Amino acid sequence: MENSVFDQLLAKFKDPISKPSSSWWILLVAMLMIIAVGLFALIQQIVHGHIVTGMRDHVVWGVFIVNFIFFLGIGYAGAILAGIFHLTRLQWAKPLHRIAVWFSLIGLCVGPIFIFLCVGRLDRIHYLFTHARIQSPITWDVMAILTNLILVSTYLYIAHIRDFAKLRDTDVFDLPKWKRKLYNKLALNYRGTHEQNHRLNRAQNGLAATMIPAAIVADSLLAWLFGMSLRPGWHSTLFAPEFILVAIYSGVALLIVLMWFYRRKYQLDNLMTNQHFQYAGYLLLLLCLGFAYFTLSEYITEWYNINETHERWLDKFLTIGEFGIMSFAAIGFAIVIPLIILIIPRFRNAGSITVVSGLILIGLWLKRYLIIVPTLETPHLPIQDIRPEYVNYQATWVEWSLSLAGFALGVVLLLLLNYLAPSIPVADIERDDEIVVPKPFYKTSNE
Amino acid sequence: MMRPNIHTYGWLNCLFICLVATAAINPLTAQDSPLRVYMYLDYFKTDDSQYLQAELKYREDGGFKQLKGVEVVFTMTADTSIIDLGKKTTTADGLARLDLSEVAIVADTLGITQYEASFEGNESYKSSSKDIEVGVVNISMQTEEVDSIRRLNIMATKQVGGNSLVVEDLDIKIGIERLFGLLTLSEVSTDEDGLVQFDFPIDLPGDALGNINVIAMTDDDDDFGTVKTRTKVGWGKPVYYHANEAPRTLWSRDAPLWIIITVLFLFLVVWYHYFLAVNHLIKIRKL
Repeated sequence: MENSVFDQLLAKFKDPISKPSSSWWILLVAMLMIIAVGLFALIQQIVHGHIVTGMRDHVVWGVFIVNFIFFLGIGYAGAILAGIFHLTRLQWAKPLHRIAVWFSLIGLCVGPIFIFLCVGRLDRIHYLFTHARIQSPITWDVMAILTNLILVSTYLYIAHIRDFAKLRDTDVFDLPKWKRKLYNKLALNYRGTHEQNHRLNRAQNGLAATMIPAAIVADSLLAWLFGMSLRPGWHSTLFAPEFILVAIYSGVALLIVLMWFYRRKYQLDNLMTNQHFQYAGYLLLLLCLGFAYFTLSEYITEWYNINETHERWLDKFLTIGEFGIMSFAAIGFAIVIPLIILIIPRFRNAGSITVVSGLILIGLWLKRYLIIVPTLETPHLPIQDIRPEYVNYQATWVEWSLSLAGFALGVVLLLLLNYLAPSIPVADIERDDEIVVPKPFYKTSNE
Repeated sequence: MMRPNIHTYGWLNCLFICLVATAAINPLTAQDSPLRVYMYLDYFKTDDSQYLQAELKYREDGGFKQLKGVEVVFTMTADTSIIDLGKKTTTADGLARLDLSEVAIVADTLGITQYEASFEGNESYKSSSKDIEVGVVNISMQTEEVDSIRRLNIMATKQVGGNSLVVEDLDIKIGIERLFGLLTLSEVSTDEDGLVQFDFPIDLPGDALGNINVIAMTDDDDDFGTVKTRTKVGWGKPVYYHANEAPRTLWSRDAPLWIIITVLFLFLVVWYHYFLAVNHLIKIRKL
């Protein structure tokens, strides 16, 4: 039997490609139920208006925008990582390539939904196009998100063509007729000829090379939505590079978490080795140091600002009753704990790196919250003549439900992608005819 | 008989003190005395109208405020008879204006008419009145241009007993009408013939056709009030105000060209690669 090793590899993905297991179904149903609750919350919001949220006169952006930035950051990070993995031909990173592309697509699909939730008049959403002003950062952002979404989805499709062809032809597991027909259509008559491979490589190379700068520009535009306004905490030249770094930081963390999950589920220890986690851990450490540097630079610069509004803004991060706990949690989860775990080799193993990655994701979500809400609660003109309960932002059950629904939607999309294709590019690995494992920089501790 | 004790007197004393304190805080006479009203009366005459204007003010919190919504009665005194001219209510600016165009003005033998404006007062404001004596003066303005010298010839005359007499030593302000007021060119006085001549400057900007509205007026004269006459001359320099199109800026309707070019260039570069990839996919299908 030709390539039996790779057929055996493909066979691992029988669940859910051929027959989803009960756990797949349970998870899908659970996520759909969370989405249903979110839909109910959305109906409340549409019927009663934004009064059901915590957003008011001053804090006009809340948890929805936090999620928007979080998901878009992951989306752009996935595109950048996938592009780098592909263009640098990192053989050991091949198993990670598909995961990166997947969460890139998921981030770019789910993120914009939160913008729609934040907009009060959805019947006017078309104004973004009919009344677009080319000098507006919002117009650039709309163009960038749409462009990146189309680029990433096309790239994802191209990166799956060989696997679609393999699934079309394989007899490793039974597939329903409709699915084989689907793979037949999606495979675009790919037979692995020299000419087809050449064209596929050129298409993928071109898109990978375009995706990286497109994602960087798009993430910068997202940052400039804030950086180009004059509010304390937002009007900063650091915002664009910080957004890109934080996006890649959260992307690598998510990559590690998913890598751990898939390694466990599909017994991919020979493809996602401990060395993969070590390498990802080094990258995470670098990014953590960069994030720490940006955070220090941001706060210490504001600390030297004698402007009263900036002082009031900074005080909120040190006051326990305001954002003190959240800011300490963000710094702890995203900087202090990762530094301790990742610097000390004794603590650095696949499990601890994965746990730290989870904490990093939480810390970076909190960081996005700290970017949005404290600034909106600290306008230049003192807040006056409004109800006291409008001064501080408090997210309501509607916002939390919709946020959870967004995360659930991301999980559903991941489940569906798993249902469609294996989580590693089996056909690409098969073409290389070897499984490459990264070599350690130095001797590491036993895992 | 029970003798009242100290406690009884104590309660009575407390009640008395409360009553006195209440009276001190809230006096029985609820209203303050009426405020004094200051009235000013002026006479105005232009080419097509003449009117009296009364202004009423009162003092409060250390400053003057306009008295609005009160009735002012205007009268004209001719020898011994008082002629009622009408009533007007003050506007939000504290002004009451009475048009004299339809009024047959009666002057005395010296050509002087006495006008009076009065406010009868109310419980908040005291009554007030003001009278002025005004003679009617006519200011005529003629233009002439001799040897490229442009000249204004202004004459002031008054009607006395049916006769037209010249007005000597009348202070006249000559100016040109601008958007927010009068641009004063000169302040002159009439000679014994009631005449004044003024050489008009040659470099004043006018409208697009070079027209200027020239005004000759007495400014709150003691004898004649404010009298104004206007004439339009083509002695100004034509000025063409081109409505500049809003320059291309970040905040205007039209974006700066460099932004448009940059955004379109980036857009096209990215989408070119996308269509290139799609083209490869189409070719793969056909191979």
